Amino acid sequence: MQKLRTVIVDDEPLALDLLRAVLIEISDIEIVGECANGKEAVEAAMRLQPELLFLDIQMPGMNGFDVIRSLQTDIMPMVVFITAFDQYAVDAFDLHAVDYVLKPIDSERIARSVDRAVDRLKNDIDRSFKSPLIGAIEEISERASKEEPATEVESNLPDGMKRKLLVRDSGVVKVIPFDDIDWVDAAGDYMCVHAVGETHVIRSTLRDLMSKLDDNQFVRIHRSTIVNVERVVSVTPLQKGGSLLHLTQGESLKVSRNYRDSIRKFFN
Amino acid sequence: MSDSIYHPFLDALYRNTTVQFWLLQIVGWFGLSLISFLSLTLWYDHQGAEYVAHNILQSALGVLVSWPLRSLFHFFWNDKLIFRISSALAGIIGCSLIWTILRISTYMSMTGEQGVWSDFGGWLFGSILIFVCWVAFYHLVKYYQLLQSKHQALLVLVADSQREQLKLLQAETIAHEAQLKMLRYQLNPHFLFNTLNAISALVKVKESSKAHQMIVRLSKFLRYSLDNDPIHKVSLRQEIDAVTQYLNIERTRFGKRLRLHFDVPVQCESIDVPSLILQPLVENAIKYAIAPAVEGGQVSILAKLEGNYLFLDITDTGPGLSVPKTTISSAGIGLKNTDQRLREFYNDDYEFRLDNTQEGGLCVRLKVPSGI
Repeated sequence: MQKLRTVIVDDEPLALDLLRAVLIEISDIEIVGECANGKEAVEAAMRLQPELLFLDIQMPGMNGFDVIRSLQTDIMPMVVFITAFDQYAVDAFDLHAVDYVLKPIDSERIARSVDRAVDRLKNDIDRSFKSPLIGAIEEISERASKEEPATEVESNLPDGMKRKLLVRDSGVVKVIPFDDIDWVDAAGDYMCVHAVGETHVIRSTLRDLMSKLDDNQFVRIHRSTIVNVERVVSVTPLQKGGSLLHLTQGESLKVSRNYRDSIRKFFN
Repeated sequence: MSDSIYHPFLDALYRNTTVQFWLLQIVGWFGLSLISFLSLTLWYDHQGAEYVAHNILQSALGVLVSWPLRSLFHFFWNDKLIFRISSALAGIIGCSLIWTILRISTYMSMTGEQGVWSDFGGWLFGSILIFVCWVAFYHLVKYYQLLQSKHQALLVLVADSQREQLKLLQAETIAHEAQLKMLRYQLNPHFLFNTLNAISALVKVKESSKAHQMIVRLSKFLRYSLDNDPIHKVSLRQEIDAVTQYLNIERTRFGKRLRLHFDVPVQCESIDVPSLILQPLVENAIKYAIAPAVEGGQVSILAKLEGNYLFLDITDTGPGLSVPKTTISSAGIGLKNTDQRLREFYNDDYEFRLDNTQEGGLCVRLKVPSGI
């Protein structure tokens, strides 16, 4: 069978060495990329579109959770988290059936994670890998801040507040003007709203959000992804009819073949 | 005992031995007078008022005559047994004689009967019996009370020692908890598991001498943490050595991202400082300045001797403090612990403050007496 294209991410050089040495011995794995921080990981995931990501949680700058939040649902690879010590996280991962390994890493445990990934790739036609991950991450941040989950604030807004999204995030209600939103993707019960370099995770559905956002500015480009067309700076066509959108913030988003018409009408 | 139902009178009776004495005197003597009325007075058919009056009078005299005995016994209570027995016998004989003489003379004058003195021996015999009984009863009550109070004292003692033991146990628990906290703080699980992971990596990539070096460093660091009681002082040299072990381990983990700079003049090395005082400060620098920075940063330790004081600066290139927090009270628990420890060692003769450096990092400044 074909090998799993894999990216490994850890900020400690030795930890990366160990992970590589362990994975090289597993025949199902082909390591296509190595990253030393979260930012590199997001770029590599977009550029290389791997099937599997081994991701350290504690990293400088963007940590492992930030990486998951900012990756497009439709290209989300399967993820195995790596952590040295984090009881909250381990509990949440168990609850949401998210795979993880503990440091110091153990080759048998890694082999088991790879087997699991192979099984999922065969059986999971749905490929909604982001939903359980976001579920676990939100559970962890809720526990850490002892807060209710972030929700979109529902209300009959005055005219001045039209075209704005109100998000309750760690106890503070933030106002996000629609114009500030770069793109949005759905992950199960959650929506990830990416705005000005930040990702806000709220409990909502794609249909709900679509009904609020204006049709001539926000366009669906994939099963779970909406983009603010004003943010698009360039389009790269891909093989098999898909394409890649490049946004002002430097992110890239994948457009699926089924939705290429919707984007085509803006760039004709 | 009036334990179950509290009654003021009974309670006073229980505590006040003088009240007990007088109560027993009256009940005893007038009880005797009742027995004597029922037996002697009725038997001899002496039903005249004067006989009854005399009967009561002799009890009253008994109360008075026996009164000094209490003081006598009190006086000899702690003396040798021989003195106590002789004083008791003398008391019995003396009181019996006096009481008999008083009884006979009042009897004769009240009833008008003559020639009673010839029966003196018989009257005296009765008196002696009564006073022997009095003395025996007095001692019985006295010893009973003594036993009770000893028992009570013992109970109080037991309760006290139990309380003491509980206090000691609590104090021990608190000290233990503090030590455990300290240990947990030193044996930061992130540090430990990441280090083990790094060693594991060195073994896997067959860098055995580096792996060996790392294990030795980790062991030295752990031993230093476990061996050194936080209440002791060590030389600055030892403290710097321990921190160096720790930082070298971190440098193996972080690679180029961690840069170190030490400047500790030789004349500072022998100065005593509280053990493990630098460790949490350096660990903070790693946690807030190196680990979150993609490009890493530098941690420097500078020591200098000025006058009678040792100055220690631990500087990092991290984000520093967002608000000027030169007071420790607003700082985190680790820094508060350090402040508390310094206070225990130096009272108020020290300085511990946080400054933002010009480059934007944090500088933790310590000033402690050099003891030179």
